[in-house]
Amino acid sequence: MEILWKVEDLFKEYEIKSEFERKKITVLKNINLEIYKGETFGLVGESGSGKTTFGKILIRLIDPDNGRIFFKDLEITKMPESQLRKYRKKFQIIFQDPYKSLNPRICCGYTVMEGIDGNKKEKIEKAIEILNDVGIKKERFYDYPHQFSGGERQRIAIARALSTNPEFIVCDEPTSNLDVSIQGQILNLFIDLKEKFNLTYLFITHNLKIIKFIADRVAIMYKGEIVEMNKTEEIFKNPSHPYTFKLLKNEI
Amino acid sequence: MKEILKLEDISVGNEEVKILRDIEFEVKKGEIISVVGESGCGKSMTLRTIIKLLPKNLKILKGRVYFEGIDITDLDEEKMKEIRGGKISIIFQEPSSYLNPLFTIGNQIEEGIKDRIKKEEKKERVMKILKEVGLSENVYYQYPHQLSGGMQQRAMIAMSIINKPSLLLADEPTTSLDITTAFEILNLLKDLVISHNISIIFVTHDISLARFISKEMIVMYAGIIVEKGFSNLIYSNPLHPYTKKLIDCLPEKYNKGERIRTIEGEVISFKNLPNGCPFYPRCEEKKEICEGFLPKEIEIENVSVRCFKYGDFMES
Ligand SMILES: Nc1ncnc2c1ncn2[C@@H]1O[C@H](COP(=O)(O)OP(=O)(O)OP(=O)(O)O)[C@@H](O)[C@H]1O
Ligand SMILES: Nc1ncnc2c1ncn2[C@@H]1O[C@H](COP(=O)(O)OP(=O)(O)OP(=O)(O)O)[C@@H](O)[C@H]1O
Ligand SMILES: [Mg+2]
Ligand SMILES: [Mg+2]
Repeated sequence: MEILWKVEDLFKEYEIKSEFERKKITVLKNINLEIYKGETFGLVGESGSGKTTFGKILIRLIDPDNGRIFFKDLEITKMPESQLRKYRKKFQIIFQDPYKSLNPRICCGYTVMEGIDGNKKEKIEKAIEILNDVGIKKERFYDYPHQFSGGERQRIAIARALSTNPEFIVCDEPTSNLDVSIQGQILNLFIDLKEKFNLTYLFITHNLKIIKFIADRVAIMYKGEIVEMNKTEEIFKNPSHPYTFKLLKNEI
Repeated sequence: MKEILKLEDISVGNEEVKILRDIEFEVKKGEIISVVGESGCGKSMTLRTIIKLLPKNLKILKGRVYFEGIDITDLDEEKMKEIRGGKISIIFQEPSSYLNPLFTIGNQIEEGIKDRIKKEEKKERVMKILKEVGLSENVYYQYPHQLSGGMQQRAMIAMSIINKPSLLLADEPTTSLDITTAFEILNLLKDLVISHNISIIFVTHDISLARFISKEMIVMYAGIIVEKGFSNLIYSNPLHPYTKKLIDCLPEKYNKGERIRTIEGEVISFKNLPNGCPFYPRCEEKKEICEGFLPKEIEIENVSVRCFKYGDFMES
């Protein structure tokens, strides 16, 4: 299997300042993993365990303090932005809150056009096509975010992510603010798009039912460390870490 | 009297829109009942009706609210204020937006105490409550930002039970929490029911969560109750086509690689409600009658449902 991402000994800490003191908290430590091309890699863990931080570090939205990151054998850990720009379009991220992640002053079509290369006509055509792929009709091209429902907004965010022809998308709890009926549509969409565009996903969620449904492999993150990593069925069948046990036991 | 709260034929709205229609249910003493449904179906509005915190442009058009056997529908704001945060209290989805960042947790909980007691007594009471919701005494001196989401929600719960309410309205109290933390909070609520003999109305859009926490549930669609009864019965054998669909789109019902069956069509807007059943436009089991008439509630083996599938019982 082709390795898309390789992460070695990743380490990250933040300094937090309170009224009286400054202290450092370790957010990620000893992270070692590989993500294969074409898989959906699930990342589960309690709030504050470092999942989002990991996703952002991977695609270099923030820098790690230590460790190495390889994208297809190429080390990008310290690659300067000028060089990284070439790769930026290959990685995308979709956040939890479609209300906050879209610019309220930019219409839906233009939001998607931003990531597309070409002249204006080409951009518009391509944007229409991508929006169509995520189920947003052409008539809505000039509508603004507030005119869309939560599920539609998340579709637009997905369309925007697709606009740069990415190979890899970090999906950071992309359905946890949505109703179950819309969640179902969005999950179906992720699966369809993965096939159509040959995508690889890092899928972050704390919903185990979604992980079971969508992920090929899963890593369990606990207090900044990956305590367990395996094929999805294996984790559910034979959890080995106490935290994983607890997680499975608490399933509702 | 077994029930602590009773809503009788409630409609809420104004000249232009009707948000809630024919809402009728009871909350039993020392029990949890869930209100389930998609975003915008009127769950929060139902809670707001009970404590009379409706948006200015909406009012109760019809029906009565009885609390502990007393009709509170027309109670004036003065008396309502006594009840709110007193015998009926409420917790919200986002604890962080309801806690004041500038005051310590201890300070904020004390502030809410309605009894006129001495400062030291208040502190004592807060310390006791903190312990009951699983927080350490330190939390008394801490500010909201120093607590995790789960701890903040515990603090909110402490605040909401400080005046020994008999009814707690919980509006999606665990939606923003991760599962382990949510699970702890749910268990805490279940314990409170027993230790404090509280009744809880639990609002959620997650029907499996509703089944987990409450013996009974109410399923709402577009401002009406489409099905209500025992959670287990409804979950294992939903009667209303909407409830069926709601359960059918849960990812746990599918294997990997399968497609989730979703609810086709759009959620209706309250501005142009159909004359008949509001679910009619999206329903796969609709009949001719559904378009023009709203079905009446009928009882089928301990579950009540509003659907013409089970007979042509019309609103008179
Ligand atoms: N910019 C920052 N400065 C200081 N601390 C931070 C910063 N960003 C994140 N943290 C801390 O790092 C830890 C990990 O945060 P992160 O957002 O990665 O968690 P998460 O697993 O995504 O949680 P959630 O499920 O709540 O989204 C948390 O304790 C958080 O408070
Ligand atoms: N002031 C208002 N005037 C008219 N309609 C309103 C007003 N406030 C809310 N609504 C509408 O009333 C309906 C019910 O709202 P409510 O807040 O009860 O929904 P909900 O079921 O709690 O949804 P959610 O899960 O998103 O919180 C919504 O469709 C909303 O748009
Ligand atoms: Mg996160
Ligand atoms: Mg609500």
